[in-house]
Amino acid sequence: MRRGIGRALGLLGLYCGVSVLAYAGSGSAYAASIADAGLTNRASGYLITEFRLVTPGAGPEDCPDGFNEGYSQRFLATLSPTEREAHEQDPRLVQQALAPWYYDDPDQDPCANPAAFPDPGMHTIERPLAMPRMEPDGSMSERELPPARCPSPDVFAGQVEQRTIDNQYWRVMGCVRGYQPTGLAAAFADSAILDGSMTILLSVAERERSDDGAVDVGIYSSHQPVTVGTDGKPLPFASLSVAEEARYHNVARGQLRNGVLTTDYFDLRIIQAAQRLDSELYLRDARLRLEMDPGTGRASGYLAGYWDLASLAHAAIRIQDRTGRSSGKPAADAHGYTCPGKYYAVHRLADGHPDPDTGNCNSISVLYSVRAVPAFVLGAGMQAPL
Amino acid sequence: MPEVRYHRVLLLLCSLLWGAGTYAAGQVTQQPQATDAVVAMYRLTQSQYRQSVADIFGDRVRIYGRFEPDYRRDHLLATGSAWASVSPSGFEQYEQMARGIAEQVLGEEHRQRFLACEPGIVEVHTDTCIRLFLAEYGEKLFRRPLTAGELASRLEVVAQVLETGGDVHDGLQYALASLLVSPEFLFRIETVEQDPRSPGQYRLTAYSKAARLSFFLWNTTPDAQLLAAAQRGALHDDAGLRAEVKRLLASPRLETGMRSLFADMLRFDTFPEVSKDAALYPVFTSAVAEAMQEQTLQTLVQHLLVEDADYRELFTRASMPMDRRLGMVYAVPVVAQGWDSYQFGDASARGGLLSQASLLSLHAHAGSSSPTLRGLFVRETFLCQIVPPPPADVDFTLEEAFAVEATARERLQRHRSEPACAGCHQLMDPIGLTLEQFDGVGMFRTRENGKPIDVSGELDGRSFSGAKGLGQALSEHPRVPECLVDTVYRYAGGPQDAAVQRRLLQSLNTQFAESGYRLRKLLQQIAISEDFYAVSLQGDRVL
Repeated sequence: MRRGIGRALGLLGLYCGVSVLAYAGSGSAYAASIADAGLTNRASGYLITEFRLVTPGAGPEDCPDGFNEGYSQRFLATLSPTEREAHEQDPRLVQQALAPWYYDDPDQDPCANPAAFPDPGMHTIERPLAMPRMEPDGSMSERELPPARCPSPDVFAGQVEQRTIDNQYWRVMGCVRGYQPTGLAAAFADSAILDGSMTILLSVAERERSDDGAVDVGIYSSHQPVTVGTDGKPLPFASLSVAEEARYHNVARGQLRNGVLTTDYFDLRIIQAAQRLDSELYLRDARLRLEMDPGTGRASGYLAGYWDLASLAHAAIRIQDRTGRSSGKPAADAHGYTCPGKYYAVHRLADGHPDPDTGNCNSISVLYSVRAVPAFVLGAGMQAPL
Repeated sequence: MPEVRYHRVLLLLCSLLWGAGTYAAGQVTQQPQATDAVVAMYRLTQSQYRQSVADIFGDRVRIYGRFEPDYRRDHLLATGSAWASVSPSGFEQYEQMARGIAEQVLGEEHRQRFLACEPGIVEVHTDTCIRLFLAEYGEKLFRRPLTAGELASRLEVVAQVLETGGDVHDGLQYALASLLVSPEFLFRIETVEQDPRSPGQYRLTAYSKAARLSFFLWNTTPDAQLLAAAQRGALHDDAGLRAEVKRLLASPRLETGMRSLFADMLRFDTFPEVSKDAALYPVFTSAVAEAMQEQTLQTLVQHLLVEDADYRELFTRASMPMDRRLGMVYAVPVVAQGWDSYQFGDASARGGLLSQASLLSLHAHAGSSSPTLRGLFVRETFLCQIVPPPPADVDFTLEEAFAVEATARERLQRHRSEPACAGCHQLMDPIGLTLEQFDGVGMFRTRENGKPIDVSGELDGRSFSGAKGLGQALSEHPRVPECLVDTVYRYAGGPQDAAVQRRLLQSLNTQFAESGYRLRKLLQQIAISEDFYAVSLQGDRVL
């Protein structure tokens, strides 16, 4: 049923037409500005300024066998002490020894085609963890839980709306040096937003004739870069158009009560681009929870969902770049893992959308932290606010 | 320039032309000569220099160098230009710019566009080509034909370059550069001549009239048609003058000229010096600062030129041009990718010129708004009133005691309570406090440090509230249109004689009111007025 509504709204977005979808959110100073501009609060728009994988950090007890090793570290481990010292002193030798880093033939690329390569193993977090998860009522909890398991297809289908959405992806990446709080992933977490590679917009509109806080929520990719202020952060109140591709118009029903927005389950597709990456993020049965700050008009919270494994393989293992080639191998080496190791690990820890035929799960739970500032979300040829 | 060895040729000529720096700018008083006595010199402002070069040589010619700062006097750069001179280092910059321009104009890539014929085929032909080039561009740069002596000195420059092994194009480069560093180009020099219609009286020469008219309305050098009108004496004839004024007012170049007037009046030349606290006002990027100025200039052009609307309504105008950069300052949606018009509603606190972010940013501190600076700006710019500078012995310890207060109104309490401050601040603060709902970059707010902002204020005995109230009060203030007349008149560079000024301003004020306060009409009235070109005698001296 909910997918039917989503599709209907998506089609509305595709075929309809106008201008301002939604505008900046409420909040004292911000609400004053909006009121001064002659706008009402029936609809609000936001620009996502932070969109980060939740990576709580791992200790020795989480990774008893240590962190995973990338291609370079694995190669160095195979050398005699003398040779290793020579290679460590001249990194070009390692680069040459492990070439090619970019493959012309995807079939030969362990990151573009990891399933064709044997599993070299990957350390993952297997012990019970207390970390943020999204509960069925849309609240967040930090109960200590063991790794989620891939349920049977009928169980998953029947219980998806009663399940806590875990963050199994952290279990996969928890023993990777680059994914620690001080690692590369955190250092570049919002760079894609700041450099204009990845713009995500959000609209929240009160549903007509509804007095119970029911809202329609839209999440859109935009091809327009954010404007960064002199403080190095995206500026609020930008007017940004949603991408024309209906594929990136995601809609959901939700509730806005006591300043907290929670959506029902929806499928999310957004452009995922950064530096060399040119891909998309596809989350299934996702939910958004945002707390709206009445003082600033800003919003912060979480997006939880199940990352489709094919999408994950393209965006986070192959790392399809803008030339059509894979940047997966240098990325894996920089972070400290191997592509086949990660590929098999995500499949092993996948906990969503089991295949009816094989019983293997096709998605893995993941959690993003989200921050947003008020913005004016402009429709791409739409007729009415969603 | 291709070779350093020619440099001495240029230096020789420059020193000759510059007369060892004996030219002094300003309203000069000279004994009337039989012909063409100099009565005034105005150093070209940076924008006038740039526009003149672009009009003469095309806008693809780049200007490399640093201009001497323009000088503001009586609140206008245009007035200050009559008092500005050229320092030795400034002259070096002018020389560098001149050489750069000459290189581009006579370089292989572009010279065909500027040379009427190709010199060098036969000697006689070469001489004709050189003379043609120097005469044509000399007239454009000097805004009058070159005298025989001026032409001869440039021909000598070319000859010297040829003697030292250069070719004709090299010679022309040096000759052109010498024209560009001449005071006759760098200054708009006004001269008088005997008035044949009134024996014993003097009048501005036709070329001086043409230049005054052109810089007033277009902010650039006269075009060929205006110079031709001057050459045939048409500007001394009422019908001829009216025809040229009508043409200049109808030209799209009027917008360029008026943008210069507006920017001068609103002191936009100081915008590059504006800095804002990056943490407090992250929206104030260089792109936004640029857009702020453009918004205000577009507003003025639209209201006063395109719509030919009542000047006073500028202070209550509800719509303003908006682009996406400014949408982030005004917190409004902007659908268009470029500029679009945005209409603020009746409920909005924003409306009128004074609520535009450019003026609010310019007249504020780096980390806060400033009711005092905003009030001062309104007094000086729109009411043409003089507010004395602060006394040298201001006691800032009291200022600090009030710094803990939440709102500017509370912090400025001292201005009202201290007799030494109140005298002047009561002229400024009550105006500026009505704009307090706009922060240091013009973003709307209702509270300051958590406390509601009171925007009540008064102007010359009239009480009101907020920016809209201030706009309404200004639109109905009798001094506001008179101030614009005064400002435009001073910008135009009319005569300094007090009696003539008084008579002309009185007449202009009457006509401005009768026209419904239309700027176009005011410009026309100034430009066709006989008094505007009047030359008065004091004893036996020309004023």
